[in-house]
Amino acid sequence: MTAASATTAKGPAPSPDRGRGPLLAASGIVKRYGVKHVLDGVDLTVHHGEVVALVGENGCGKTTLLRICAGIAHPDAGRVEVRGRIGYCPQEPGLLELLSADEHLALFGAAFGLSRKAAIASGRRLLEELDFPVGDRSVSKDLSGGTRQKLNLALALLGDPELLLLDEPYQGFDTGSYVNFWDHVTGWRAAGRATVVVTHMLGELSRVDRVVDLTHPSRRASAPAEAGR
Amino acid sequence: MTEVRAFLQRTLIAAEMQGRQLLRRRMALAILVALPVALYLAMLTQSRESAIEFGALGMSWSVACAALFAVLAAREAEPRLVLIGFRPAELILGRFLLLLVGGTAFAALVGVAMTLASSPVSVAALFGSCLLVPPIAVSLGLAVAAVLPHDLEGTLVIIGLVGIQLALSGGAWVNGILPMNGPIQLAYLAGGFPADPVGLMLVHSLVYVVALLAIAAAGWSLRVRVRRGRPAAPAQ
Repeated sequence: MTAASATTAKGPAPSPDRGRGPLLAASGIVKRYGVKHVLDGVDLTVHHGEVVALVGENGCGKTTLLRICAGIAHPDAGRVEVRGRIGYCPQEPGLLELLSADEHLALFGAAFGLSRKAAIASGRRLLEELDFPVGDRSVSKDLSGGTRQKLNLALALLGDPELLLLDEPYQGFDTGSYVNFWDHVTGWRAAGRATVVVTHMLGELSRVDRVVDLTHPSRRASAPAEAGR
Repeated sequence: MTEVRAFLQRTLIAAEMQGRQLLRRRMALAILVALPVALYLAMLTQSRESAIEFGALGMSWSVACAALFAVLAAREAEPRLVLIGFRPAELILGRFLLLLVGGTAFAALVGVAMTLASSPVSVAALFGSCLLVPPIAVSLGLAVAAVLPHDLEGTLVIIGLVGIQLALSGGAWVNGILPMNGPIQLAYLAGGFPADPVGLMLVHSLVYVVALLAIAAAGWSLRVRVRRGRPAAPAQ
């Protein structure tokens, strides 16, 4: 897959960066697993206040690209440049099973130098916005899938990151929480945050600025309809 | 100074959260305590002196496996923590300190129990054997987890390393190149058997702790590392 075929530009020009440069610039990303080429020269640039959806068939490399952009996975070739703080929400909640929500907040907040009190207060505000049962002292393994995912998302938002990399962050959400999530995306956009979201929910693509389809060109016949602002 | 303080704060909270997780695994903790006690009691029916060696090696199994599973439980979360600002060294050091303190407390209790039940020739050597176990076993568990971060593989390696030492007789030269030789030799001394010089055992143990910690730190840092590119150039 070439860079050009991977990216489908949508809607208006990206939001102005006011001379700050893009928050994320990935170029020529190549990733192979064994003999299988998952990503082959993919480019992705994301600017302030921009919402980009990564779509495509299963196994086309959406999660891999997001992990590479976060710096957690390493490309075989290519370059990723990031400006600002990243908030990364993995598809499988990267939680500690025997810690409660507040303990997660205290631990993750310590990474930013937040005191325990400040981290919990800040995190609880985020959790409340996501309809998480704040104050629940259950450890994360005892939470429902959707509730775990809300904690997963709140941890990505902790520390006020400029760039959000979200891998199907609404997995297990009920309908209300799902709608609420996309309202939040709109809010983040207005606040100047850049958001890259891996999604299979093609009905919501009208709410994003650009859609990047990673489906291999030879299989593009079933690619999703273009959408965008 | 601020940087040192931040390092310590992050290390301590990593240790605290490790401790909270460990204490909540009550069944696992019960088995970890029961294993060396069972080994010791089983051998006690045959030889009060040799039972000390079995108690020490049983503890090394328990403590090394506790370290292994502590790492494995966090393998999904720790790259995220490094991504947002933790240093791998803070996570490894926090875990090492917590397990060292917990392991030492456990070893001291087992040492008291073995002193009462085995009537050792040298109480100092018995406690030396017990207290030498945690630093080596924690380092061993962390190193194995860094190199083989999978439940079954890691557990088998630890069972193999400690099991070989359990099966060997006192004078076997192979003991000398395996990690738990220091505690074993001190256990021999405690039981009134001939043993290597104490200084040599301490040096052997220290070399193993340093080498295993170096492997753990290098391996885990590699696994959780975040590759950061330079910031993208501003738009012209």
